[in-house]
Amino acid sequence: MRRILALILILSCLPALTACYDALEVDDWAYVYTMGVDKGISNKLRITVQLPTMKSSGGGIEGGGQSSTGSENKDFVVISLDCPTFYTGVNMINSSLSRKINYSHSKYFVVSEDIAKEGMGNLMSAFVRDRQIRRTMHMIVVKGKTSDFIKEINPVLGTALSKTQEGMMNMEKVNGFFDDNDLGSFIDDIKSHKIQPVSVLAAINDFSNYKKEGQPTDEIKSAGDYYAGELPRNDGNKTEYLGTAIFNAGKMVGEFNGDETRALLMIKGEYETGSYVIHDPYNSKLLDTIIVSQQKKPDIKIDFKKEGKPDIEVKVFLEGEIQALQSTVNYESMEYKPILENKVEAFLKEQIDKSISKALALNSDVFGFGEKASMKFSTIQDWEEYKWLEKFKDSSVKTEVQFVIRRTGTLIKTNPTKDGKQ
Amino acid sequence: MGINEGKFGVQEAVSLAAISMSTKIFFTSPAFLTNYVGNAGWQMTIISAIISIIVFSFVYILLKRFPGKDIIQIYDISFGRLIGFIFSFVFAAAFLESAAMLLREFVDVIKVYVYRETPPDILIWTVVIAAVLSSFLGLETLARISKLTAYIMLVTYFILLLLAIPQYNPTNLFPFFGYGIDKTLIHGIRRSSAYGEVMILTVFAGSLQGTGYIKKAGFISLVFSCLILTLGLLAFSMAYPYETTQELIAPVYVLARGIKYGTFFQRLDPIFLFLWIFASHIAISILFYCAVSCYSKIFRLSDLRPLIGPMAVLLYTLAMLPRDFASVIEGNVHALREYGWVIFYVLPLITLIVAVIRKKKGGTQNA
Amino acid sequence: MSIFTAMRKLFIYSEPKIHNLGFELLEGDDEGALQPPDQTRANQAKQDAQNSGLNNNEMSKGNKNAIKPLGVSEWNKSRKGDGENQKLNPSQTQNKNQAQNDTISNDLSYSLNVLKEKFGLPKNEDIVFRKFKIGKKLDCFMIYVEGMIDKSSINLSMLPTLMSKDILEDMGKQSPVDFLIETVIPVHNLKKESLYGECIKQVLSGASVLFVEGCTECIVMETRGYEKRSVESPKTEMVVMGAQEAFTENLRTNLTLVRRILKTQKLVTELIPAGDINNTMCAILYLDGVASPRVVQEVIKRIKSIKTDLIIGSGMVEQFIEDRPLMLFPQVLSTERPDRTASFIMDGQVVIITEGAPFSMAVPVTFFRLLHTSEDSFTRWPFGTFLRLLRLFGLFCATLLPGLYVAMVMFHPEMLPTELLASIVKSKELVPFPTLLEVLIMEIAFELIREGGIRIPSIIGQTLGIVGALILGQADSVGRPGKPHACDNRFGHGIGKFRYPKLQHGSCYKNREILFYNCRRLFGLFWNSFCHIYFRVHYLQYEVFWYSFPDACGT
Repeated sequence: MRRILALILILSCLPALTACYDALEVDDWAYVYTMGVDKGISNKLRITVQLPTMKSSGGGIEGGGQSSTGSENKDFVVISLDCPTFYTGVNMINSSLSRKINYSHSKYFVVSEDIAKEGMGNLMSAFVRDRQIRRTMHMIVVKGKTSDFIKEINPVLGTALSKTQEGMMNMEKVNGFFDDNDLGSFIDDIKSHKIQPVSVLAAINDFSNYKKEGQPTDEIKSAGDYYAGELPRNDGNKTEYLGTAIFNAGKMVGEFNGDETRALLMIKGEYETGSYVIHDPYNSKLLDTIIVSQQKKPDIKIDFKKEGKPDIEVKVFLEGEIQALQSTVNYESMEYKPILENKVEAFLKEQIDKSISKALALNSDVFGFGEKASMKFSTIQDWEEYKWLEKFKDSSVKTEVQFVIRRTGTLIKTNPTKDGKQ
Repeated sequence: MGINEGKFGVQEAVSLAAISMSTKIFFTSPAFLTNYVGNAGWQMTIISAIISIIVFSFVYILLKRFPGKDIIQIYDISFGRLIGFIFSFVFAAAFLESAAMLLREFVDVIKVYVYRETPPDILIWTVVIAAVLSSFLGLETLARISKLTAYIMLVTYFILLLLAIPQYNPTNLFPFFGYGIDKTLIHGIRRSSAYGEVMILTVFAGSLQGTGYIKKAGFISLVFSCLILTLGLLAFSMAYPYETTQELIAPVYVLARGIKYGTFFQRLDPIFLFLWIFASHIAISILFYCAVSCYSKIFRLSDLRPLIGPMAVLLYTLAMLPRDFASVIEGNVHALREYGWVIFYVLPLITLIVAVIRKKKGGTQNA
Repeated sequence: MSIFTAMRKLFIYSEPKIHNLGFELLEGDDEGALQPPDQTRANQAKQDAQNSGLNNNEMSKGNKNAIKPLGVSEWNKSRKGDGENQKLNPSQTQNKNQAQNDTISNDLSYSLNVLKEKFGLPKNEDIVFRKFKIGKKLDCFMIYVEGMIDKSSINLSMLPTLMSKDILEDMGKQSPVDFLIETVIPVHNLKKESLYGECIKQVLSGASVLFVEGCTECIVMETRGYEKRSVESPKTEMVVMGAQEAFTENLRTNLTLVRRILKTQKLVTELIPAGDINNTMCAILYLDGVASPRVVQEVIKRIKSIKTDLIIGSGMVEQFIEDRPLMLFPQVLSTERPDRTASFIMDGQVVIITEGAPFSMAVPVTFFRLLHTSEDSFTRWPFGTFLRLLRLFGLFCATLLPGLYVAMVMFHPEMLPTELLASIVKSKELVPFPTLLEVLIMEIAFELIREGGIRIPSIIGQTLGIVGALILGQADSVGRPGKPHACDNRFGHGIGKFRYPKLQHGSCYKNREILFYNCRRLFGLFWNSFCHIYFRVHYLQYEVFWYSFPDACGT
């Protein structure tokens, strides 16, 4: 026994004489926060990586606050490079960078629209093989140049970029304007026979839509009726995440705007909450704001009655809360509530129908109807033979929305304002 | 006579057998079998388990004929020395090969996912030395280790599966019968070798208090392993569509990598790495010890410790033998899982038939 | 024909032959421990012969020609019996017969000479030989060690009584010693003794011995009265609720403290001297009928077989009786609390209390026992359970935290949350040491301060405390030159370590932890886990007095 114990001790010391193969000090790595792929000009691809410089400016963590007021390039460096493939590009970057590049902490994988439209199935398949690539990264398609976009990713609030990036993606749960898809499920969806992939649509907003001078308008545009980069906005982050890129077999075929994305999320059952503007049922000039959230997962029924053509019935269950009422009709009461509810239902149904017909036109089952359809098949052979994704465009979709106003905010009655117009 | 391996109880026996059976879930074979049965792997493994339970009941009948004897002695008694020797030798070799392949699989998976630059020698030697040490300390210590670790591993495993719940999408389980119920059935029967390691109980039969306990330990461990394997297969079949699962090396590890709760609780896989290392170390040690024990019983040696060193070298060699990972997966591991039942199940069944025909019975004198 | 038999042999089964060697060396169960100390050699030999005969019968039913086995004790006896006897000879000049027997001579002056010579008088000035006449007639002398006896009892009661004029009047024909014991000497506890050796032992332990002219026996009187510490409150195992008594260095006091709690006649105290020269008394306490006789015998045997000159206190005894010297865990459970000792005894453990140290030791010990304190059972269960879990967590921190830190930082940086990683990298930027060295430096600094804190005299201890706080605090709070993260975990670790009820246990984890550093540095969590496995093996293989060490965790 003694000898064995001695052996243990010796053995534990023995490898100490050799090298520690996989050990690297934490500051020997360069951590990539964002990685992007563009079409290259002098080579096949142009890759872009965003790295924190990890300079402890001033006094450690608190000192970071100072630097954010200074130039933004101080905390992060963005390197773009033309190269044949991504990983060779990383090697090329290391010829000018003293730390080994590590992408296990990457948050965003950003692809430019051109590449997405050309088809990125092969690119993604190749990309995901590396062990440092995590399936939990966020997948983003950018209009315009990725390299420009990544330069603009900066924390406007706070100092931590990683937090900003993660927090940004959580905004899906707040406004529902984009469908955050992680890399893993994006790749699953590319390969799957049941569903088509989607990804967040992002763009740089150069604030050009914000017109400083001009005629005031009465025209009403829904909050989600924008694509990324189009918001009439003035300051803040130049990056904008709005809308969804729609793919068909790894090729980007279209875009959903904010409202359509909300409908997409509702059908997927991933919609959390968001405010909608509705024209008042009695006075269409007045606008009522309703918070809409998902009540339970939608009920999807699929039939194959007509000659191989699928019949889809979608029933979406939503509930809501009155957030703001401009009208003085007492919608809080039992009597008027259904009127408002019906109006919202009709409005939402219209939204959902619009996005479904758009998807049908693009022949892209981004809603995952195929997942339900596959339940009707008993074997994979049958299912793959049916070729759902091809037949999706022929399907007839019937939608139904059920909407209930559960609560009415902090008020239970709206009295008319005295000096309003008589 | 023979070696005194010590005694242990049912719980220890269950953990020994269950660990050595269910460690496969962590490696390549679950993903590989989705190539054959698609997303119905969990049904397949249940079928395999049922087959194994049936076979094990026959083996139990065999063991009951020879109370207090282990399978090696039973081979000898039923067939005589020559054929008994061949049977036993094949058995020992199968255990050693299982250990070696598990080792190679483990090392390759670890090398792929975690330690890319570490030479495989070092990883293999680490495991081999661990196996050697635990074998030196004897079966009783091994049983104790496995029992203590079994609880920890079981809890960690279920925590892992529970934490992965947000990744699950039940519609991935459809089409329900995968590539067809016939394929599931055939592969279920063929792949029942996944549970072949339950036969270690027959090798250690002398260390259990009686044949009744072997029955109990065998059935409980089979049910447990079935549960572990089924849940694991179910989990990753739900998490990823079959198209993706077929691509992955170690789907359960990918499942662990995918756990994400907010910005703080994510990328937790190094924590779960403990599970991989513990499970494979103990499983490899058990199988290795089992091979050594078989070998020493074949030659009726009174001490197995001198054998451990040479066998360890053999284990190392066997593990290093496949040229590349592809030949590990498609060649050795696949062959072992597909045809292992011939060794693990058919040999004892033949023995039972022969014993009945030749009216061999043991237990008149208890050694 | 022979080919046919050979062929046939290949297909039939034959029971393997049992090869019995002609000679077996049996280790008798009773090796030393069972024998009463005064048993004569002949007796023992006979008994051994019987025992081994029995064994022999059982062992070799089928093998009757075996040579009669020889017990180990017997073998040893026959080998070195003579040598030992010769060693015992006190002096060459004495009557050989008397010297060999060591029995007291009836010649008083002879006894006096023998004892004076043995005690090395006149050089040795500690020993007092007080010669006087009992009842003015009977010559006698009393021998004791100055300072170890209760002077007042000798001065005020013993000497006046013995020296009074008419006490011998009633003495009939009986031996004067018996007469004195029965009617004269006013001492609560005395006994007769007939060997010089025993007398000397008693004198050295504080008794006074009376030799009387014409008697081959002497009277050993319990007159101990030396300076000793009084019972104080425990210093290392403090509790909030519960008894505030601790053991002292005095064996008798300690036994009393235990007996006061366990008022049962089943509590047995056996006293065994240990240490060849200083004859430290070890008391073995157990509950008759509850403690395993096997363990009791083993403890007695091990203590008796201690071969060393000097035993001071339980720490030394512990090292002599433990099962495995290389095991990193303590193998006895020592406590300075009588109440805890009592609970160990009640649980069937065997407790050893050694003269000279205020600690008792309980064997066998299991892993989880080492994590308990006496307060656990004094507090209500929710808090008590919480405390135990907390201790377990402390154990986890103490063993794993630094290693985990090194492993994470060096091998698995992907595991750290990104913001934490960023702040570690930023602070690491200014530290010129590699992570491992950084952690080790902190470790050594911490250990130095801890060690210094214990050893440094309390007068300058304060300075050390301030300096220590400065060093560690500087590294921690200022942050600029330092390593806040290493520090944080260092402190968690340090505090976790002292959550142990037992310092020794802590030190075990120290070793283990250093092992872990090494390993983690090598392969991160991979090796780390392996180290765990090795350690677990290390921990699980042990049996302490036949009881599996990790007993309580059910393995």
